[in-house]
Amino acid sequence: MKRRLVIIGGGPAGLSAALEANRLGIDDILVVEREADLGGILNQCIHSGFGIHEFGEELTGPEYAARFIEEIKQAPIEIWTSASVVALRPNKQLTVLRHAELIELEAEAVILAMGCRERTAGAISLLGERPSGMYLAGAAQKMINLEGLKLGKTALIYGSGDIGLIMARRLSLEGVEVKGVVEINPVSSGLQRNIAQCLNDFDIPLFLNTRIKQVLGREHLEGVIIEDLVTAEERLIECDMLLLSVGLIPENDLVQSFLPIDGSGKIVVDEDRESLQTGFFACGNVLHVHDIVDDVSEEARLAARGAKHYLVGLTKTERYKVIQGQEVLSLIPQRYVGHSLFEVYLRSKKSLRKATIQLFQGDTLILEKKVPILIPSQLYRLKIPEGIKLEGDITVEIKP
Amino acid sequence: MKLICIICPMGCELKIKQEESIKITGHLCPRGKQYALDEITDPKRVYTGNIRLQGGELPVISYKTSTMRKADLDHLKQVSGSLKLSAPIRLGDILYQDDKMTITATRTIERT
Ligand SMILES: Cc1cc2nc3c(=O)[nH]c(=O)nc-3n(C[C@H](O)[C@H](O)[C@H](O)COP(=O)(O)OP(=O)(O)OC[C@H]3O[C@@H](n4cnc5c(N)ncnc54)[C@H](O)[C@@H]3O)c2cc1C
Ligand code: SF4
Repeated sequence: MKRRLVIIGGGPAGLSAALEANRLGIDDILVVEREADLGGILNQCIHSGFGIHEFGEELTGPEYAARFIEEIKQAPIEIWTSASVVALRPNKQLTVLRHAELIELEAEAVILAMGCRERTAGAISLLGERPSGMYLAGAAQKMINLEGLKLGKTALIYGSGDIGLIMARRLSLEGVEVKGVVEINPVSSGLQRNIAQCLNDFDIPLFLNTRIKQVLGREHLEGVIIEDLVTAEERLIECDMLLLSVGLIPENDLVQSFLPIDGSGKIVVDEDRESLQTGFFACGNVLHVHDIVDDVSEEARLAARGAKHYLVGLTKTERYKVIQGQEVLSLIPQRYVGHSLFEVYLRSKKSLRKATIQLFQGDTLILEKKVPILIPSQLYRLKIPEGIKLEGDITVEIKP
Repeated sequence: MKLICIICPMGCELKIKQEESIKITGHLCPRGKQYALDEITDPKRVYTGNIRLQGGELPVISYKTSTMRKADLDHLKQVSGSLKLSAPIRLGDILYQDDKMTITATRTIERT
């Protein structure tokens, strides 16, 4: 079976890419989604905080998804749900598992929109047995919010990123006593507003510079020993539930064998979100973990535009490198062509007040931007203004 | 007193000085000022959650409240725990309303 454009994943990235591709006149678009419903991770994010840029109002996850799903149902876009892409080859042939049947597809262009998955408990070292009562935070979110399950009565949360914070509030509202959020770093990586509205509102303590040393209990979790890394003080917290929220990683296994990946695990792309293997595009969390879904929808439109250019046969001249200079933790895109205006998304290694972001071409300083605050957990978008003509490799640096 | 504004993801740090009159600084937009005023007098929140449901594709329906007083949270918990709902429910359906709050469905759940 042949298709012009196959989009893998029907979360916010896939939905937005499909709509934009359709708007640009690409016909014969197929979206393949593993779950029974479109919407991806948004379905389980029943809290509000989505859509401020995209719709100018604050929506819950399912409401944000519904806006795109309504529109996509009206469009001439084919959707396969409960269908998984199980293999993808460099020649753009795909194998899809659908209704217990394997289907072979041949695409002209592919947009990857598979999202991310949670780092597992194995990624951190904990002493003790592995009693029941330990959950990945996102998995627990799904069980509570979509399956209506009750997982326990008292909880401790490991990791103070936004998912951990949101779950602390969610559990409190469900009547669970949340004994604290434990963070190994000196600062939380979550949004300030989430610390205010998810922890402070419910008097949940945040233990910074603290690690979980040991989990107690053989069959079921009985408690956790935490250790303050500054004072070496240990304390026992009794709980029957431990949520681990220790990070997300792009779900890019399907393409790892043939698409170049950078040092921080991200597919290498240019400003059109096209990988180094032409005709393969990536957007959303499969490319890099986004804090805000509105950015995902926007990035997906870039990928759709890129796919359109590719499908009408526009070829690219040379692609130059965007080099990660000092104090930069990661950046996107790692290559650029320079045929249109673009932004460099970057994260700093450290939390900085009053920093300067500099862009060099060779040794020449091309652009300088002063920013009041940079935090590793928040993406900074460096706009390259009109009138700046770039050519050759460029380097982005942060000066504290 | 210092506060983090929770109205939008900017998360401005607001400073509140309470002398003869109340002085608020640090907000990037007027909504922040109103937030700070509410926080010191009568805090308001929008809450989200789930309510059990009969006969639907999912056993629970997600909801959001209107902007309501934080002081009425226990009332919300009591109501959301005791409502008897059954599918189908449409996104936007009002599930409950009184003078303290309105509870609205945030997704559609069909009958099984
Ligand atoms: C707990 C949590 C809280 C968040 N809170 C906020 C918030 O308050 N505000 C905000 O703006 N953003 C928030 N975000 C971020 C936002 O939800 C994500 O950035 C966004 O959903 C990512 O979209 P995506 O389409 O890239 O990935 P996903 O939503 O993960 O969608 C990927 C889809 O691809 C499908 N898929 C994967 N592999 C395959 C395959 N092989 N074949 C077929 N289908 C496949 C999956 O089933 C899934 O549906 C939050 C995220 C999380 C996890
Ligand atoms: S003051 Fe305005 S800009 Fe700042 S967080 Fe509040 S609503 Fe957002």
